[in-house]
Amino acid sequence: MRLVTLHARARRAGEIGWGLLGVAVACWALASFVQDTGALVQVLGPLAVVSLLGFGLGGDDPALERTMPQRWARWRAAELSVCAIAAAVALAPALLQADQHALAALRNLAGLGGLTALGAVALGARLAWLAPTAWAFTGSAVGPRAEDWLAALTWPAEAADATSALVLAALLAVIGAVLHMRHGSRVIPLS
Amino acid sequence: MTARLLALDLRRGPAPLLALAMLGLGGALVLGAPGGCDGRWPDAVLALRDAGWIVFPCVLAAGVWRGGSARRRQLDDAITASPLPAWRRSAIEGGAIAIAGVATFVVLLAALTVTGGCTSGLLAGRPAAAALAGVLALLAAAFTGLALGRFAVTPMAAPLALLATLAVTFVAGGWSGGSTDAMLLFPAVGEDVTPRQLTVRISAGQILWFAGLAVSGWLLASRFPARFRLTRLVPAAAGLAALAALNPGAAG
Repeated sequence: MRLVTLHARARRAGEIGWGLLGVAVACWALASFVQDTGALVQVLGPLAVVSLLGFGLGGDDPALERTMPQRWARWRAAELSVCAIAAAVALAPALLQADQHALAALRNLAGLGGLTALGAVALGARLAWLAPTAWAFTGSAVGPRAEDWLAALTWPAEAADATSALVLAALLAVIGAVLHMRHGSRVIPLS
Repeated sequence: MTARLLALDLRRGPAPLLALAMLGLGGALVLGAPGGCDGRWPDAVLALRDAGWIVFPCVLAAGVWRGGSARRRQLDDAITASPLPAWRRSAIEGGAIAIAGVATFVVLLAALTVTGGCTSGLLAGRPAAAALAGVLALLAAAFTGLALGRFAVTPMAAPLALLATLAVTFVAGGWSGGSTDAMLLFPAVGEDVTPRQLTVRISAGQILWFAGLAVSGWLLASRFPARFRLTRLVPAAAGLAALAALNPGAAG
C-alpha cells in the first residue's frame, strides 16, 4: 500500500485530482448553461481531461524509476486503467447533461487518450498533451467532412455514427496503450 | 547581447514549435476554407482574424510554458543572480514567442493574399487597422502567457490556460449565442461579422486594449521571483477603458 501511495504521489495524483475536479465542474456548467455545446462537450471536455491525465503518465525522473526492479508494464497498465476511470468519472456530469454528444465524447476520450499515451512515449509526460491538442485542433478546424477517408482523420469533430472516425479513434487508443505499457514515458529531463 | 539571447531563445525555446503549429492550424483554417476571400483583401484579413479563436490560445499557452520554464528547471536562483535585468529577460522570452506568432500571422496573410489573389482593397485603412489589432493580440497573448507562467506553480498551467481561453472565447463569442460586444476583448471576430462592421473605431479600441494587455503582461513577468503588483495592471485597465470609450456598446 505504501508503494502505491508513493507511486501516486510521484505521479502528481493530488494535483491532477484537483485539476480534474475543476474540469468536471467547468464542463458540467458549460453543458448546463451554454447553448450549442457540441464542440465544448465533444472535443474540449475530453481534451482537457486527457491533457491533465497525461502529466500522470510519468514521474519527475523516469530514468531513476526504471532502475527499480518492478514489472513496469503491469504498473503502467494499472495507471492507464485508473486514468480511464478517472476520465470517465470527470466527464460523466457533463455527458449526462448533454447526452446527445455523449457517444462522440466517449469516442474522443478514447482516441485522445491514446494520443496522450503516444505523446508521453514520444515527448515525455510533461509534453504529452501536445499530441492530442494538435490533432483535436486540426480535426476541429478542418472537419467535419463528408469524405469517408477524410472523416477518419478529422474524427474528433465527426458525429457519433461516423464508422471510420470510431475505427481510427479505437486504433489510436489501443496503439497508445500498448506502446505506453511497453516503453513508458520518454526521458526528457529539461522540458 | 540581447540579439544573441533572442536568437538563442528563438531556436531553443517553444517558438519554432509554436510557429509550426500556427502554420499548420492557421493554414488549415484560412487556406483550406471554402470560398476564400473572393479577391478582396479585407476578407482575407477577416479570415485570418477569425482564426484567432485557435491561434491566440496557442500563443498564450506557449507563453505560459516559457514563463514557467525557469521554475521547472529550478533555475530561479541562477537567473536572479545573473546581471541581465529581469525586464530585459522577460522582453527576450516574450519577444521570441511574439516574433514566432506575428511572423506566422504575416506569412499566412501574405500566402492568402497571393494564393487567393486578394488584392482588391490591399492595405486599405480599415482592414490594415484590423490586421494591426490581430498582430497586437498575438503580442498580448505572448506576454500575458509569460506572466501567467511566472505565477503558475504547476506545469499543467499551459494546457489549462489554452483550453480555458478557448472555452471562454467560445462562450463569449457569437458561436454559442453570446454577445458580439464581448468578442471585442478577443482577437477572433465571430462568424457573422463582415469586413464593413469591423470599423477603424473598433480596431483602434482593440489596438489600445491589446497593447495595454501586452505591457501589463510584460511588467508582471519582469520580476524574479514573481510578485503580484496591482499597479502593473494599470496599462491593461487603461486599454480596457479606451476600448469601452471608443465602443460604448462593449462596456455594457
